[in-house]
Amino acid sequence: MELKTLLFPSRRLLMQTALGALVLAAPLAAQPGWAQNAQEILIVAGPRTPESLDQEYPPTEAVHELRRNVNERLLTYEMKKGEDGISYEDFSKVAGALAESWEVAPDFKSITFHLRSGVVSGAGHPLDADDVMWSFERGWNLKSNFHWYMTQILKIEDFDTAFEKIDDMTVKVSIPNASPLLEKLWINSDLGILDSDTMKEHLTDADPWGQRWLATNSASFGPYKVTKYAPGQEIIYEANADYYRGAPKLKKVIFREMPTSANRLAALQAGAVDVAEYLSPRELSMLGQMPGVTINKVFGNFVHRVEMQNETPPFDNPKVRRALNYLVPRDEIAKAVYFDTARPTKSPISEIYPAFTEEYYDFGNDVEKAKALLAEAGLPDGFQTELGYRTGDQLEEELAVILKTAFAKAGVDVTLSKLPASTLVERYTKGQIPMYFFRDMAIVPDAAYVANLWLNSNSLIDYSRFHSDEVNELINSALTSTEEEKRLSDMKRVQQITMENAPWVFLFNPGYQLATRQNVKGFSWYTPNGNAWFDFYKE
Amino acid sequence: MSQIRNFITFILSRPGAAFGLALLLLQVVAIIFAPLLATHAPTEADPLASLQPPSGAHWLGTDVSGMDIYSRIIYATRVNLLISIVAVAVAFVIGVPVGLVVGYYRGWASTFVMRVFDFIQSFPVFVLGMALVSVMGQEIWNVAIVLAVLFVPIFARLIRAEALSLRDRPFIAAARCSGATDSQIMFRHILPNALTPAIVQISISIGMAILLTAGLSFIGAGVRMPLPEWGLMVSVGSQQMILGVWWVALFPGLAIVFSVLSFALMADALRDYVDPRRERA
Amino acid sequence: MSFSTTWRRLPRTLRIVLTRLPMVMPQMLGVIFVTFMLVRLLPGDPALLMLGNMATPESIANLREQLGLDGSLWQQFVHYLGGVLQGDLGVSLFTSNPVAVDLMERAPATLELIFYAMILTILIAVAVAVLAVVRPGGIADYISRFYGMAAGAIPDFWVGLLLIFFLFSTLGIAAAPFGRIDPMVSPPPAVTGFYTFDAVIAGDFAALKSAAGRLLLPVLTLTIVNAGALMKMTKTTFADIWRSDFIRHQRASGLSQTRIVRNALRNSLPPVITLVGFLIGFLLGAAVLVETIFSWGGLGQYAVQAVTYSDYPALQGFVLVAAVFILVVYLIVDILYELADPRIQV
Repeated sequence: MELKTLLFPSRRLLMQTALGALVLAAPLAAQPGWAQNAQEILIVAGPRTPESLDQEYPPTEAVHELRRNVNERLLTYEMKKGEDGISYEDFSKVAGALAESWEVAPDFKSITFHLRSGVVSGAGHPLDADDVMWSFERGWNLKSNFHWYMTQILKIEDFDTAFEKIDDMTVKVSIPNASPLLEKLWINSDLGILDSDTMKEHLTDADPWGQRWLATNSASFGPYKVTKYAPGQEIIYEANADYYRGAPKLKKVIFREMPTSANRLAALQAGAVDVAEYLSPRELSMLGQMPGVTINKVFGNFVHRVEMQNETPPFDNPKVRRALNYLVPRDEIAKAVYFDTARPTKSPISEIYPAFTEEYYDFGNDVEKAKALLAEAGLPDGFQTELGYRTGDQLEEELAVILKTAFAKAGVDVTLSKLPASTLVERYTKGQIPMYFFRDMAIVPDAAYVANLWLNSNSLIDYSRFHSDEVNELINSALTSTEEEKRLSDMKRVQQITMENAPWVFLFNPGYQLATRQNVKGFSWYTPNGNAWFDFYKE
Repeated sequence: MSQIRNFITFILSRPGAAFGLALLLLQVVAIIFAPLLATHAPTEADPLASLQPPSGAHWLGTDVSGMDIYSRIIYATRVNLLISIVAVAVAFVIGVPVGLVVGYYRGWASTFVMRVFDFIQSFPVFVLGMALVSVMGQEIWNVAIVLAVLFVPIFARLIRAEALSLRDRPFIAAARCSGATDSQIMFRHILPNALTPAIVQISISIGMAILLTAGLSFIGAGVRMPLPEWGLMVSVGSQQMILGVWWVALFPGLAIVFSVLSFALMADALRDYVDPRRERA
Repeated sequence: MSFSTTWRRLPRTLRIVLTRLPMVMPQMLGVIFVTFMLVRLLPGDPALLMLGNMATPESIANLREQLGLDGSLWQQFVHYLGGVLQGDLGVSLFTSNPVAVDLMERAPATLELIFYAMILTILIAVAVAVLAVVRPGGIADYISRFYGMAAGAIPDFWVGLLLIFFLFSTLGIAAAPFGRIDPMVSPPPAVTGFYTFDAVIAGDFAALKSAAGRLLLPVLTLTIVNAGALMKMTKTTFADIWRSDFIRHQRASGLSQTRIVRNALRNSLPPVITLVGFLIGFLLGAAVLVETIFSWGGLGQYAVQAVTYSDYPALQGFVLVAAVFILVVYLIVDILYELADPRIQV
């Protein structure tokens, strides 16, 4: 009797058991094995999901971080620990990444990459020279990032003469003139190598380079692959278990978009996220006094400044531009806006890059001097102008309001225009707005590269229309010369001319800060300011 | 004159209406005497005084740029009421004649105009406002124009409804027999009798305009910084609210509530005054 | 058999719907045209936005061609209209997804919010209104007078902020005001798209708890702001009926209080239905602000993002869908109204 009950339980009992199992199983199914690997999952709150996953998309902060985690490049810098315990790139030591070794020709006109064997993409395909050549070809044909680096920096004119597959694991790049950046350029994560086998599965006649597919998917040899991409909401990275430097410690990184920085702060405080990116200095200073949270700070290479239209009166007069520089209350801003996390910008070259000097900087807050300069420029009563800043950028709005009050002290009446990023970019590209905020970073640690971006009057990014023939010549010679001594002295001269002509209102280098829960370790810093989740782990 | 005196007596006899009138007068005082009432310049930033709680120096505290919130609220009365009153005035001046004509003449043109209005009103007001202001640029006049566009159909409909019911009345027929032209009939005979609901609507619409302006500024599609405007001020404070800094967003929000309330209460009073039956109900 | 006899033989409901349809079609076309024109005039060149610092004249031209930005305005409209009729609203510049897909993905978030706000609004408004009328001088009467006075005067974004400040920052009893669900909790598998329903279907109580907690503040915000108007309206209508002869007659006949209230309520329904229709439209607009505050990730936040980033197709898509949604709601309301009132001739 007892046995029978056990072997043939009543129907009702069976139903109950089944129902019970269903109820129990459902929550477990919804969170597959969550409990045991919370250590391996990182939840990040950031201002914005990447705009596109395609490496030919223009670089933004969000995109840089994506590339840092998904793309793998041919070369890299060796890392070294700073005095603050943070890992930094050692700009003097280039190391191999996807290329295990490489040779630069003695005349600096060609470089040969020997690919690492056994490298496997997130989709499981091995790396070979065809992947590299296909990535080069795609970049060249799409005429965006890759094309810009190759034509503007390396001065390549023709694809077939420049790029050559030597054998299955060797690729050679030849350039017309010697370039000191021939080696360093390949460290940029914009120049990632794509998994061409995966890409080729998604090509169509209408879309021969898979732009539509790559905009929302990843196909690369980096430490992570993207498994979910919901722009405006979240992006989920999962580890590439076969990554060549070993499987990442964090198996899954969930990046949540939270546009308001105060919300990111509250989420970190409540423990709802592990990492909060881009908090305002005020919020960081609040957080600094709270338990359970770590704030990582580096000075980095961000610059934040107000650019002026150097060709439009009254900004065509260097005296007017200098006058505005004397009106900025930098000490107050450093204290009240940046809470001493930022340093005043004292040169057009990033302060952490070789050749930087601050000896030509003399812009104290001196209203009388500003008034005198304006009087000399024939504007003793000041003038009216417009200053544009980005919608949603709280810090720029704060700065704009402070600058408006400060400039008014010399009679300069500024109208503030909050503009969608696209409108602002459009207007300053076309020279249609007299003053605008500009926030950028130069990711190649080389003074000539930086100067070429912003100060060469032939550069597309010289939005302020700064023009000095001497500066142009010095930059061009430094971009083709490999004599380090002369390059350094030339770049000092460029900094001197720039500071004397003040093409911009120099503001601050805001640095880079990252707030994490205390158990998140492994913070490192790279020039594109994107977090490399491969370096992170949880305790 | 005695009409006005009657109306004021009527208001004073009712606590809600009296409260509304008091609030309204307070705003008039703020508009006229802003420079005297304010303790600080409304747009002057003082970085070292940012986010100070209410104190003797800053009665309602300061915002993130160190601007004095009390002084900004006082000055903002000018901006908010100016935008709203201009918007409603424009809507009234356009909407009333259009409604009158459309109500008086029947035909495909009238139907067409009403369809156009239908369809302006079929858009969510706020969404349409947001898109229009983005198109035209952040200027206070643009905000006013956009609001006017949104309000024209409301006035036109009200007048049309009245005109429709009046046009077949005997006294209009009488006027027509005595040789009055169409425009004389519309403007001399129908309009004066059709105006009451539109006048009540003015007060309601000003309140709506204040709310919409504030909402537009809040999401960044309204007036520009650092112009003192209530919605923009709440928006500046919204960033800090979650961190426990309450005064930046709280006070300008209260100003919006009281201002809108004053116009709503006046509208109620007006309606009850012209239509005493409603009050008993 | 003449047309008119066939017509009269059709069921009344069908006749009501059929007379409405020819009016809706040109309205829809008009809506499409207006959204197209409106958004096309927005400032900002999307090609330049997408290319940013690396833009070259050539790449800009390429991208403009790809996005259909070259060609005359008229050609662009015909191109757009053709797409809309096939359910193609273009590709969002910001998310690189088809706009229709983006909107579909986000619609449940907004609808869930509106759904609960609507229910709570009706419950509170009707309950307070009925109590206030049935027991004049009682607490409900005072609440209704006071609240009715403030109705429509409170900015929704401000109420949302106050609730965040009091219930989350200060007292710490409300769930965090960002997103529909805790990031540590995975959303339930999508069936309806409403997290609360889906969690119940999946039996996932952790998700249900989290989703309900996250709904609390935004729903409360929308309710506080909107219940006043509905309450005022219900009160007026209900009061008229409460004093009408037929209710007096029922009372004289000795019907129980609950029966009388139920009868009076049923008779005050038609105007309330109309207002509820308007309210749905209004809530959709209010969602723009409330979603932004609570990072809700629905249609409203999508619209604000679209304005911020000059995402033409996305803004177009949203305005279009919102207007069509409201047209449909009004249509349903009109039909319900006519059905409820048999005196109206069709």
